Amino acid sequence: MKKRLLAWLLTGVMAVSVLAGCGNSGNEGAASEVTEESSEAASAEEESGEATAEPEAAPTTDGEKTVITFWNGFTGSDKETLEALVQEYNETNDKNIQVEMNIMPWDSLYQKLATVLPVGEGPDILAMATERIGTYAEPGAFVPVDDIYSQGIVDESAVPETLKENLKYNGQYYGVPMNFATLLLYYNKTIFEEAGLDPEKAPETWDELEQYAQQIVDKTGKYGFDMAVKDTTPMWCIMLWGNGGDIIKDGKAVFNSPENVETITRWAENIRDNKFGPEVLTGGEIDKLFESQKLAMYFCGPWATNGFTNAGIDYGVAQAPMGPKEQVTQANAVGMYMTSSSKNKEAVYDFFGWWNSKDTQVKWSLGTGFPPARTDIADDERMKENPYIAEFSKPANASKMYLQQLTNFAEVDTQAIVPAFEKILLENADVQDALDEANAVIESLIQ
Amino acid sequence: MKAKSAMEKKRERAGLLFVMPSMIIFTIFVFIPLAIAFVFSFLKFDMMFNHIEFQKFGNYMKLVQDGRFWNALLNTIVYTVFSVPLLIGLALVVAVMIKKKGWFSGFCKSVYFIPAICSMTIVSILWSFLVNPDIGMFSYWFSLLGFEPINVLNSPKWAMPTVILVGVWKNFGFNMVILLAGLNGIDESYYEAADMDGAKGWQKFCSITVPMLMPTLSFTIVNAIIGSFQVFDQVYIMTKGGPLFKTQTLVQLIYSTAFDSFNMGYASTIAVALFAITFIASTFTFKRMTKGEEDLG
Repeated sequence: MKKRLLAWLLTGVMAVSVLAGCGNSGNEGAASEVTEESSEAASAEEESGEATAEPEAAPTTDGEKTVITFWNGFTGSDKETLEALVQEYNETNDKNIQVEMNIMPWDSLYQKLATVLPVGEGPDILAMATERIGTYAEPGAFVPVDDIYSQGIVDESAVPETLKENLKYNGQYYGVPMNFATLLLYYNKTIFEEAGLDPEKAPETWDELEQYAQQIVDKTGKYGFDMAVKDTTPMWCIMLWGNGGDIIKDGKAVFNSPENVETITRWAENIRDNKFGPEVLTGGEIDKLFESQKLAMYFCGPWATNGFTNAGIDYGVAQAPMGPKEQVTQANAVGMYMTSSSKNKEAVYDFFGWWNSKDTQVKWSLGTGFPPARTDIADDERMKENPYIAEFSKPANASKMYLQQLTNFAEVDTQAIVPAFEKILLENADVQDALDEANAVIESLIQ
Repeated sequence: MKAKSAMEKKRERAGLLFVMPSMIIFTIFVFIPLAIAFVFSFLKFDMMFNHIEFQKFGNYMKLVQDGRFWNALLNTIVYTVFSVPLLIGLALVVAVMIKKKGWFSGFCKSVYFIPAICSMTIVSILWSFLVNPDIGMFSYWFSLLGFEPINVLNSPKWAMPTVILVGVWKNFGFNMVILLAGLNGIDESYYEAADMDGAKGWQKFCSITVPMLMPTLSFTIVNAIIGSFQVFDQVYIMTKGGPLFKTQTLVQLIYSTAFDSFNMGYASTIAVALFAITFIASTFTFKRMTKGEEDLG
């Protein structure tokens, strides 16, 4: 009896290993994954598709729900607020629209899209950072939404100036705001005190920032100031812009400009040689360093406030220190887009309009610490409940966005810019050489 | 040729019926994607499958001139060259050591096998934490020994050895179990005979264990080579191919070409190249190993 059981088990194991082994030796690891993924996604879609099948024909018939799907990557602390808001919309909207939201890590989201969008099985609504619009708008995976502004469903005049241009591609609007954020300098007040600095006074210029960081490194042995390079919201660009530099200007790569060489030399020396902090961190790593109170200062967006407050860190936020040329910070935004797979334009527009209403924006803002994606509610009485919102709203119209309007943002970042910083910080490469090389790569990518 | 009897035909049909389910799965998930990827490898098209252009051998020409491809191939070969001997060597040594029956070897077997059944993703995340210079346990131990902790995953020099180590740590248990089964299949009488002839432990190992284990060994080696050529998970989780593309392997390159750059055509080209390389490498190894067996025959 025992023997028979064993034989069965062995057969099972062999069957599995044969399948797995062959799958692997066939080596279309990538390809077979694709099919699996797409069939999986397709079946998921089918389920919701069944529900939509009827209302498609007559979207406003009583009793029939119009189901629209919404995919995004808000897996962080903002997830709860988002879920609550979507639920509120589902319960209160008068058009019988049901938004079915699917939250997944951004990585998996991009991977899924590559297989569902071409076959028209994508979600109705997608949210992602505005720098990626070109990647999807160019091949027609996103649909222009100019009419949502011209019909006044979303108030164009309330959209922050910095964001407006970057919701467009080739002169057409492709998205509406989902959130809008600016980076500020976070500083740890406890470490400031340890180092003999005034915890209520953040550095206001580059010189002060250097001096403070040096003092922290010398007196406490902790890290003074750092900037992440990989898988992060861009931080180095704040320095580049502060000294009058840029990466791409008027369609040309200007990464190796004299200003950039000067800026990067100065801050690379600070981080690498003066030990201000570890070289080449990822966004996750630098957050962790600050949260474990080993790093005193870094640039970060409003999404971190809740986490740091809950972790019991005594921190402050301040405007990015004034550079030699300009005081500027990085702004970034997530937009919501309608995909070419969607057949429920009315429902999608209704949700877009609701999301950008004053009321929803106030709730979203309060729940997440993000400044509102409308410029006309910063003074709303309710906003005072969260003191950080005002600080993060200040630079709304005096900030820049990173590498927008490209069709291959991801490649420019990972093939040119990140390797340049890695070479300089990890291998002590000559700054001019590294930037020249990166500049040539950017030039070839944006042609 | 002799005409098949009715009995034989019937038996054949029954056989076909039995393999049908797995053949169907195999066709849908392996053969068809394989064929599609092969066709894709000659095409260029955008994300929405618009503007499909036939490239003739354009993609393959690009491949030959692509520095990233050669870099990834080199990294993959480095990974394979170091991880396969480590995997098999370690598995063999441990298998021989715990071959004896008893609770302790049973315990060891389970302990070494546990990583093999864990998800590579989880193992990679775990190791990323362990070697993290600021919060990692290993870094802490090293600092106790007076070494300055280095961020191994961020060091162009140490990233690849770390990735190899994690791969070996996770996978050697799987090979060990297979080799153990092989070891237990060797008849004790060979060893008894060798004992009579006065053979020493090492001689027994070289002249009995290894030759008798050859079929099992060749299976594990070929499997390990194929697996190593396809290393992806730990690279993707731990380094994303960085720093400075020092850990970028072929599958990782395929992934980023397909899903970061949305260049499915060219990604398929790299995949076909990897298929060819893996096919040649594993066939070559298999031939060599089975030839070795026949010689011993």
